[in-house]
Amino acid sequence: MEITNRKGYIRLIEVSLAAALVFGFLIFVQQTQSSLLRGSQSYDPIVLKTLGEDIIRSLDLRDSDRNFRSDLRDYLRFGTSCINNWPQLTQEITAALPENVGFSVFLVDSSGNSLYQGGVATGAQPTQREIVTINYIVAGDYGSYCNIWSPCNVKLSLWFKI
Amino acid sequence: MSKKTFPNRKAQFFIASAVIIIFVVTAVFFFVAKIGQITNPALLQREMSFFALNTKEEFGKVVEISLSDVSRDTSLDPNTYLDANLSSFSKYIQAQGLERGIIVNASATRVSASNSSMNASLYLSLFSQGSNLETNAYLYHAITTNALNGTLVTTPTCTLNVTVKKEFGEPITELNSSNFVFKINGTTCSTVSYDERSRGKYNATCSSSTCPSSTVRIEVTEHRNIFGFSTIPNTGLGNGCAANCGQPID
Repeated sequence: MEITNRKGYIRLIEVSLAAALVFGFLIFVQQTQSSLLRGSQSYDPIVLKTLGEDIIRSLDLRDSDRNFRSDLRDYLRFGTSCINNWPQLTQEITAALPENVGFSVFLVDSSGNSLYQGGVATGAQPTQREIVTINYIVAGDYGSYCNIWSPCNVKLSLWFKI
Repeated sequence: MSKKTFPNRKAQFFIASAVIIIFVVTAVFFFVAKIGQITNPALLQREMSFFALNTKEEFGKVVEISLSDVSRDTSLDPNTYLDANLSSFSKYIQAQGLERGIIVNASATRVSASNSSMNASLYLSLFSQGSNLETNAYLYHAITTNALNGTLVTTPTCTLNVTVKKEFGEPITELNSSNFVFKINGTTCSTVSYDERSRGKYNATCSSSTCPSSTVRIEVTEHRNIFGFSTIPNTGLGNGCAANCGQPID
């Protein structure tokens, strides 16, 4: 077949090249975006979040001394006839966490004040690590530590040490 | 640039257009990618579902504590007390939601309230960064104490059967002497024993010579600190009313 319009033919080639360039770049972007999003949605925070939620929740479901009040609420409880037991709670969290996970635990009172109770001391937490926080509301227990008028919140901060 | 090298300069427009498109797409891509790094939707959804679960359960606790308070203090009006507690806790939950970046609409409504039963409904709506979560809950706590048939006689002892149940007629088990008070004409019996003969059914025995022709009352404070009582007005003669004195055992 004889090519009658050589200029038009070259133009077609250039259009094809331009289209290939654009499509090639779009495919490159799409693949890079997928890998970038995978990287940005690191599973570390989700793992930490799951871990922390499971620990707090299991403590609130467990009743080791069979007094019909969960262990978590026993540890938080204080008042005239009973004392709170943050060291025991700290010990439970330490036992439940893997060795490469650090933590701090706080009590957030009804005014929003965050009071350090255990784990790595305030100010000593890593600054270069992503810290995940789990908040667990506790409505109270018969007017002892915090009641319906002043509910409290257990805050657990977790991070990977390495 | 000679015309010999590029015989068709007009066609280079397409190449230039392609380069411009690439620049635009690059700019958009990096902008979108940066937003993606900030949000992390999986983490947000976890936060919302955990918050919803925690909130629902604690609303249940609020109703339970309210019933506990009202059952032990008859000067409290059950309706007013429950309404105030639900309202107070709703505000707390809304504040807690905002601290987590979640807009919370918590609507807890009293259905019924008395000194032995409280019933409320909860509608919870959470919204954050395009994610929405709605859930409902039915909050119900109750205690039912029934002093049933007994043998209210002087010899050998004054005994009666008691059933203790909570919501939906579920028996309250594993109660012991610390949970009960046995009163005869308002006076607490000092030598009393309790025996759980079947799930939630207790046999109370008091050594007292004043049992016949007396009003016998049994009080229960169960594990959740909810108080209930039942009274048998003893109208019997002689040995007092015996097996048919109280209500029929179920």
